[in-house]
Amino acid sequence: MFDVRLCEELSDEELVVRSLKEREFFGCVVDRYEAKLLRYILRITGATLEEAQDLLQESFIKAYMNLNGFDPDLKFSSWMYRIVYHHVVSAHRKRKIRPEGNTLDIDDDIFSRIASEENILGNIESEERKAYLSRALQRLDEKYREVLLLYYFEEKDYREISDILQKPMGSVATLLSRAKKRLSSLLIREQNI
Amino acid sequence: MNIRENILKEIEKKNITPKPRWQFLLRDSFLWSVGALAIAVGSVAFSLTFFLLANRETHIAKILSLSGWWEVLSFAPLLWAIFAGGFLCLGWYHVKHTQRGYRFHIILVVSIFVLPLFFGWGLYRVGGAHFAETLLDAIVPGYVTLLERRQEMWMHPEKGLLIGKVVGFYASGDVIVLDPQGMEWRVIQAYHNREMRLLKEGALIRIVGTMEDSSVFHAQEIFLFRMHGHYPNTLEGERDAFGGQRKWHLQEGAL
Repeated sequence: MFDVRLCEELSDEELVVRSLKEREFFGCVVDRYEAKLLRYILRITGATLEEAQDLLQESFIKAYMNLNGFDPDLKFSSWMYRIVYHHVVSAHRKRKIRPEGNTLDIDDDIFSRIASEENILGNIESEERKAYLSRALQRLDEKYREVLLLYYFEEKDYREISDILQKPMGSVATLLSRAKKRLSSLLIREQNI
Repeated sequence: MNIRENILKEIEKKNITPKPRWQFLLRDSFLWSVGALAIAVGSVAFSLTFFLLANRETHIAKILSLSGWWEVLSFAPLLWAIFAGGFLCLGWYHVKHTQRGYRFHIILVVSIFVLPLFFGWGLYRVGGAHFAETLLDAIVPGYVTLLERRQEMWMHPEKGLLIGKVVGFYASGDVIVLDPQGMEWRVIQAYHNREMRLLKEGALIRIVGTMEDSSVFHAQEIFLFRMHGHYPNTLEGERDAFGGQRKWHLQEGAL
C-alpha cells in the first residue's frame, strides 16, 4: 500500500524512478512542486488562478508522460520548470492566456535581493519602492523579464536558468546583465515620473 | 479536490502512461545523426568549393568570351559553399534541439561551421573532392564535371586553344597530340617552352597558339594539364584518370 510519508524521505530523482513503477509516487512530485510552479505560472503569465491551475495540471501530466526523458544530469526542478515554461509559452502562442504578466507580488526577501544588487532605491519608502519595482518589471521586455523572474523570484542560478530556458550559460549571463541594466533605467524613469 | 488528486485521476481516467525511454533515445540519436551527416555533407561540399576554386580558369573564359552556361558554372564554387552552409545550418538546428545541445553553443558552432571547412580542405587536398565529383557524375544525370568543363574550354583550336594527349614526336621535335575528339594534331613549337622537360608520351597538355589547318597547330605556350586536388593525387594518377574519363572520348586505337 502506498504511503505518502515515504515521499518525504525520497529525493526528486528517486521519486521519478518510483513514479515510473507506481504512479502514486507522482503525486508526491505534484505535492512538492505545486505551490512553486503555480506561483511561477502566475508570475510569467496574465492568467487567472483557475487558468494557472489548468496550465499547471497540463504541465504535470506532460511531465508524467515524459518522465523517461528526464535527464539526470539536470536538476529535477530545472526539468519541471522547463516543462512549465514551454507549456506556458505554447499556450501563449495559442492565445489561451493573456500575454502580459500578472502584477508581481514582491515580498521583502525578493525586494531586498533586487534592491541590494540594483542599489538605486535607497532613499524611497519601502512600499513605494516595491510599487516602482513591480511596474518596472512589468514594463521589461519578455526575454529580460523571464530571466529576472527566474533569478530573483525563483532563486535559480545561471546553470538552472540555462537548463530551464535551454539557452547557453553565456547567453543567460548576457541576458541577465542586460536585464539588470534595463531594469535600473526603468526604475530611474519610474521614480522621475 | 486538490491538484494532486485531479492529476492522478486524469492519468488514470485517460490511461496515460510515460512514453518509453527508447523514444527519447531514438529522437536524440536522430538529431545527432543529422548533425553528423550535415558535417559530412558540409565537408564534402566545402571540398568541392576548394576544388573548383583552385582549378577555375576564368581568364580563359574571358579570352574566349564565354557566356551563358559557363557564366553560371563559374558560380559553382559559390553554389557549393551555399549548399554547405545551408546543410550546416540544418545540422546546427537539429543538434541544438538535442537534450543537451543548448549547453554547447560555442562548441557546436565551431564543430558544425568551422570543422567542415578544415575537413573540406583536407578532403580536397587528398583528392576527395574529385572523387565526389566522379560519384556525382555517375549518379546525377546532366552533372558537368570540372574536367569536362575545362576540356570543353580548351578545345577551341580556331580560337587558339588546344588540349590533348602527347602520343609521339616527329624527328623535327614537333609534338603529335591527340585531342579529346580523337583528332591527331601536329603541334609545331615556336620556341623551347619551360615545361618541355616534362613533355613526354602520355602527358596531358594545354596549348595556346594558332591553328594553321585542321591538323597543324603552332604553339606559343605549352602547359601541362594540371588538376589541383586530383584523385589519386599524383601526376601519373592524374594522367591515368584524365585519360580514363569516360567522357573524354579518346580513341584507344589511335594511340
